[in-house]
Amino acid sequence: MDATDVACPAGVTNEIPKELQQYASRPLDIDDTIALLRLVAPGLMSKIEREHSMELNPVDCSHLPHGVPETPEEIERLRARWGNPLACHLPRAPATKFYTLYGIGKPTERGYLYTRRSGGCLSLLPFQIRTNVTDDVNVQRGVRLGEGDGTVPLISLGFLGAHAWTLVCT
Amino acid sequence: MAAADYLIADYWVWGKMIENLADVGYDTSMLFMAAYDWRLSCQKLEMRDAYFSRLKSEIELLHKHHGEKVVVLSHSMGGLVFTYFMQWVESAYGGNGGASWIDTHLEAFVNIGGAMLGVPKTVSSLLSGEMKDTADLNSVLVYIKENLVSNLDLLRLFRSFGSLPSMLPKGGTAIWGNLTHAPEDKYHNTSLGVILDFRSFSESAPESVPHHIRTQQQRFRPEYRDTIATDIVDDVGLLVCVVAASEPTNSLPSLTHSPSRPLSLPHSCRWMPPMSHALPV
Repeated sequence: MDATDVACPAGVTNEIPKELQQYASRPLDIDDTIALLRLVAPGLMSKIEREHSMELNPVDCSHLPHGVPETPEEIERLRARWGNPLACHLPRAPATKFYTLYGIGKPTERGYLYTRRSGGCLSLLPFQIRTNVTDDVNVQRGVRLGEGDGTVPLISLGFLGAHAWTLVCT
Repeated sequence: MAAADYLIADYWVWGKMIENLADVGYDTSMLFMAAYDWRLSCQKLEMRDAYFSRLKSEIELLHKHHGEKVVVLSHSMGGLVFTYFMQWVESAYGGNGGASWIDTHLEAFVNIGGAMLGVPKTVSSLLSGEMKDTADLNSVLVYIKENLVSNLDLLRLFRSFGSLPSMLPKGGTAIWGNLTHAPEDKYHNTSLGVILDFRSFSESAPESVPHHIRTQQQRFRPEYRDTIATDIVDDVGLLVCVVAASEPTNSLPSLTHSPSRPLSLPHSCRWMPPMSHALPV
């Protein structure tokens, strides 16, 4: 238990909320993971998802979709797509060249082994990485390693340049 | 520019790039460092710092002054910041540069080590204030860390960074894989689509690992410890993927393609799922 656990912030208890417990015994893919984050930090996640799109559905992001009324909410929704290359077509720029450079061959964090946390304030901070787990394949101190440049996984480095940005729309 | 050439002596950031550009004739009037406050989201960067407005003006100035289109290089999260800029700059709800601004002003975009679809460590940072860097600390360092910055403090800090959510993994299971398979699984036995694993270690059945995969994984295991950023930069086998600019035609709404790699054209503009294509390794 760390020293600060003695004084939890107001409203924080030592119980893991029931709705979190259904997640706490199984493997989670990325969609489950985002769903869990929404439960653990609902206020934060709703703010995040207003500002950041995570969807895969590229459209023209320079205008509001046809027929959508111009409200502050719709404009915010449009801007939320701009930082997600999976949600927007590239700008029409046939004379512009794109180069994607990246390194590979370094173990790169791709997933985590989690368990119930051993400290207090569990309603705020219910889980922790199982840093005591290392296997002989690709788990090091509770972190599951994949292919990448040591910081960014290969899929994130390469998918756009190697594939998505080479597609032609018809 | 001096702000981001060397962090400390011999720990280079953009230093070598600047030196090499100088070798081929660039001087300080032709180079511009567009540093951003990495704690802020893109929206806030424009709101507080007029970051994208300044970048647009600077590119327009370079273009006008030298009579040539501009090359933009980005690193890591900078790739996402520039991706945002490319949408912002043309839109009437952003820089209002019009539909041909990128084509007119940008010669090339060189995206180096871009975290384009996010990184899983944002999840662990938001969930528990942890990541590989904190998991690697030994017990002495953990003791020191807990007494200086507790997990609760780290959690509060990470959750306050507006930039961190911009690197949450994008694209859902179509990109990051599911419980049974992920795009990179040919290198690993467990599905890397499992982002958070709450099974206890003893419950997860030991899987038989094909020999060639095991060998490949063990190849880079010893390098894992004490890896520092400069190693990464020095050791990488760089892979260059060039998306050649195509002839301007009206039938290409928004994407460029490589003429040397003809693709069977999909009938919609949805990206293909990454499982259907190998990444070049």
